[in-house]
Amino acid sequence: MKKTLIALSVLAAISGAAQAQSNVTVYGVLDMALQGENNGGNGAGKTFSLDSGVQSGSRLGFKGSEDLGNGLKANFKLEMGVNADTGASAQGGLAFGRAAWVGLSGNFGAVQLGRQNKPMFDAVDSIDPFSTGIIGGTAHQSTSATGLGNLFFATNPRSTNTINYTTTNLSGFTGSAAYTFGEAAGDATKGRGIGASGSYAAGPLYATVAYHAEDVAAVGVANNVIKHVFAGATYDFVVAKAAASYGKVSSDDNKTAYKLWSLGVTVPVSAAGAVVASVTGVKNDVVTTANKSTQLALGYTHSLSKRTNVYTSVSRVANDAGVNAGGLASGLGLTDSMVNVGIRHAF
Amino acid sequence: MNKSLIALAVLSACAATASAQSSVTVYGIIDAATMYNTNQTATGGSKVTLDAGQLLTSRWGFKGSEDLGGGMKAIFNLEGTLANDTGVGGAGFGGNSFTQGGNGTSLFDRLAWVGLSGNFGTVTMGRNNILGVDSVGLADPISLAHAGSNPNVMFSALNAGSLFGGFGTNQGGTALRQNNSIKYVSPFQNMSGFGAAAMYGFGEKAGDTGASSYAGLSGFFTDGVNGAALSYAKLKDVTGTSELAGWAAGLKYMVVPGVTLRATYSHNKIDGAILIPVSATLALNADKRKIAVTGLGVDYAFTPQATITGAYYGTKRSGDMNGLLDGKADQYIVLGKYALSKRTIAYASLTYAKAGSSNAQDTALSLGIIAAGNSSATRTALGVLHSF
Repeated sequence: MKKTLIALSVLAAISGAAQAQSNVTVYGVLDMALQGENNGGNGAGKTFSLDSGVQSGSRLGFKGSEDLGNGLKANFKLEMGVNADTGASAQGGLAFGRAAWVGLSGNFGAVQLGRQNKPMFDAVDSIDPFSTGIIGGTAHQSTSATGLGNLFFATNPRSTNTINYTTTNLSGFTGSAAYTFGEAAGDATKGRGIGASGSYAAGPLYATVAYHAEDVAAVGVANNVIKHVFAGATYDFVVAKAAASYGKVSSDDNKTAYKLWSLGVTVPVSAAGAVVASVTGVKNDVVTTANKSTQLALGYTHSLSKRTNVYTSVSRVANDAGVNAGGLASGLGLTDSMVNVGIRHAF
Repeated sequence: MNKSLIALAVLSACAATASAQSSVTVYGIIDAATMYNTNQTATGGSKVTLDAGQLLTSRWGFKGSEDLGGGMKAIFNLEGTLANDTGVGGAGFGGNSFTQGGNGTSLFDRLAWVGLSGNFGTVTMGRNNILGVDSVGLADPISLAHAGSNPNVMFSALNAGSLFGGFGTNQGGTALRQNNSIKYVSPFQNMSGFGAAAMYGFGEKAGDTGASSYAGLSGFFTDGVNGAALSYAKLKDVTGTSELAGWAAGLKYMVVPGVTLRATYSHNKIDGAILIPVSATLALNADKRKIAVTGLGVDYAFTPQATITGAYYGTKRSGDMNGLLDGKADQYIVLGKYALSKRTIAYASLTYAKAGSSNAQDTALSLGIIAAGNSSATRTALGVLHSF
């Protein structure tokens, strides 16, 4: 999957440690799918499209590590999101919008500084049978998420100006903690983000919990922290892998309050193929009636190799009049459905 | 020309099929030229510039393939323009702007696709070249040099957003490449024989499948030395009511070893009312606008390293505003190339451009070589191209 560029000898020459080894890996994913949406553009009619990053966000990346001795390593990652349908940079045009960090790893764990995934995102992604993709359209705007991704990720699966610490694997336990600097002059809490997650893996069982709190208020406005909590588990019965999760979102200003749950299953049907299904529910606690959304999704993925697979899915989201689940049916009371077929190639 | 990155053994080992091979190729072209242009002001002043990509557009790219077994391959390509005179990467691609660059920007503006190839042919999905580029590109008199002022690149291949803006999936700006497109090319072994291609670009408009779409067909033949290609394309505007349709054809024939004749013809015509800006404050109905380009050229290779090319382009515009804006411009070009190596070429060119008059509808067809208020101009370019 990854390729190594041989480091220029001039760079090797200027590195300090005698045991230094250096390499850069160039890697990526290109993912394109044909999609048909029943109520595209919030009810304006059927839409047919060819979209990028439906199962996994299309990307091009550079990463590497340098052995500093005594188990210590310097690591970096630069990863750009690419909308392969237009060639444009994703994440709002950032050059390396998916990841841009440098860090150290060793016996103590790993520290990363820069733009990176929130612990919350990695936790949700690890439980969702669709891995926050395939169903409902473009990844991360999808209503996958173990469902309804945006609600969990606090508007974005990644954060900038962030320090993240991850433990080593401690007999199956792993933990992460992240701090995002708001960088507002004179107000250390404005724009600040705090995240944490813990997971446990033992044989067929995997379980994780995660927390994320982020001040989303503009400078000059009273702080408004949105808090997310998430818990999920998967169990691999060999004939099928079951997933269940629960999440809750609340805010200081009480204008955002959701409860979310999801049940999913992945059934291997051959060495290369798997059927995936999930049902996800959202309840908007800001209103008291007509406040539920339900998503049903069924998909199939088929590996052509370790690096290339084709996939298809059908999904449907129905919002009650008082709730907008985001993603596919992004409007109060809207119902939408989508069918897609795509290919994903990793390099 | 290209460097392959060595795959890590561990990753080869985890690939499912025994035949799996993996590689990412990082490649590119850096091309720069100094240019001396006459008649660049209304009073005949000249201008000296340093421009990128005059022999071939400067670019960088990543591509690779994976053998899936049974003759099937997964393939990908990401390629972007590099303006090495300023350092800007990528280019505008449209987005409801009628200017050439458009106001949407794309880092990998030249190509961004993933696909499968096999005995059935090749299918690629993403941002693809339109079929007309391949047709005239096969036989362009100067092999797509001076792309920014090349009538085949700008008109035959629909790159001139200022005159053709608003059609196809980019919704403005250049239409040379199409967003949201799926392209099929028939099996074409060893770059030889007959082939055909079809391509469709989704307009992605809710409730109107045809709006902002591109549809194209082409047929071609090549034996590696000689070749012929013909393509047809139909593009719709964002309302789905106005349409741009065009033909592009190319013919390349080696008379004797070292001497190759090239000829191209294209015409593109708008059918249906569409307002296209001619200035910041004025937009005119471009219905019935037709632009036709004739290209002729001859290459003579003195030695395997040295080639001289003589070329002619004639561009005519007619039909819109009841003929009020009819115009024409011609270009005469001599281009010399000397290969310093397989990957590095030094080149020089002399262009004489003559417009039907000094009026804007004529000088606009010279694609910037002739400035407003002049009816002719010359351009001298001296440059070097390096590919990696």
